[in-house]
Amino acid sequence: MPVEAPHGAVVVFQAGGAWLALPVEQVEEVSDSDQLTPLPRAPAHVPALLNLHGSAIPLLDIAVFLGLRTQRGVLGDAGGYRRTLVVNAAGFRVGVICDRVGGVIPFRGGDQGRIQVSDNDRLRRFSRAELDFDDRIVTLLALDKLLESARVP
Amino acid sequence: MSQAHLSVGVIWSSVGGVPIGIEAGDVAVLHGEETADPAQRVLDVAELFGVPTTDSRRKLLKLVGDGAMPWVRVGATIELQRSDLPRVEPVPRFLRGLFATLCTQGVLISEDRLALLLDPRALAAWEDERGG
Repeated sequence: MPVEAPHGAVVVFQAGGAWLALPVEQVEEVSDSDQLTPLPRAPAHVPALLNLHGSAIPLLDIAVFLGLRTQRGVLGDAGGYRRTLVVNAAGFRVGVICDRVGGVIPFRGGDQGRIQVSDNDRLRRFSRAELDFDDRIVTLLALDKLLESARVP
Repeated sequence: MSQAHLSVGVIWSSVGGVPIGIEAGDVAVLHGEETADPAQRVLDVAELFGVPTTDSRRKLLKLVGDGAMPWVRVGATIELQRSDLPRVEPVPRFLRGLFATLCTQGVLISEDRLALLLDPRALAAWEDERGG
């Protein structure tokens, strides 16, 4: 079955030590992770709700979900959550927690490589491709599939 | 205390660091801990949420509903807000299962506050199931 080649521009960010990317069309904004309401009895990858301009946005700790970090950050702690990418995909509006946002980077078809660099099975499962930029390898995520799997049904 | 007294507004509290709210129309009576009748059924939100709290000054709310509704133990401070009310947002679809587990029916949200909105019917059902 042919796979549609990703193209266009991506938002690059770092989480749990890995460089990840999402299509720019799926990212609404970058926000600070303040005004958090912790969620009791939630899986570790969904630690809180974010009050974003008066809307409640579930936070997704993508590093924990992908197995890049074993423990959740500490809410309100200086070493905890810093930045949030507010994304919209698969009918879900979610805040993806990240350590650092690298910016928006255009890419060509030639940047796309096979999924082979990462040895993380879980990361590979939700990857569309690995993008080979000059200074780093970035994993382009299949966000719809990831959010469907991460939700608490 | 009449039910009408609390019929408009929301009640804010916090349990184990988790902000919670309940619509005032769902509450018949507010009590301090010292006035609780030990014979009454009491549902502890901290137990429901699985969050630790050792505060002995926590307040009790008597729920409105059909049948023998339980008292609900919330946080040490409660605040009744009757104007400039927050919006009620439905349960985020991403977290539907979790909100059902927590007996919450949505969120109360304003520019600077966000709390889990308790569902009195779900709370009563949870209390019934555990044989309260």
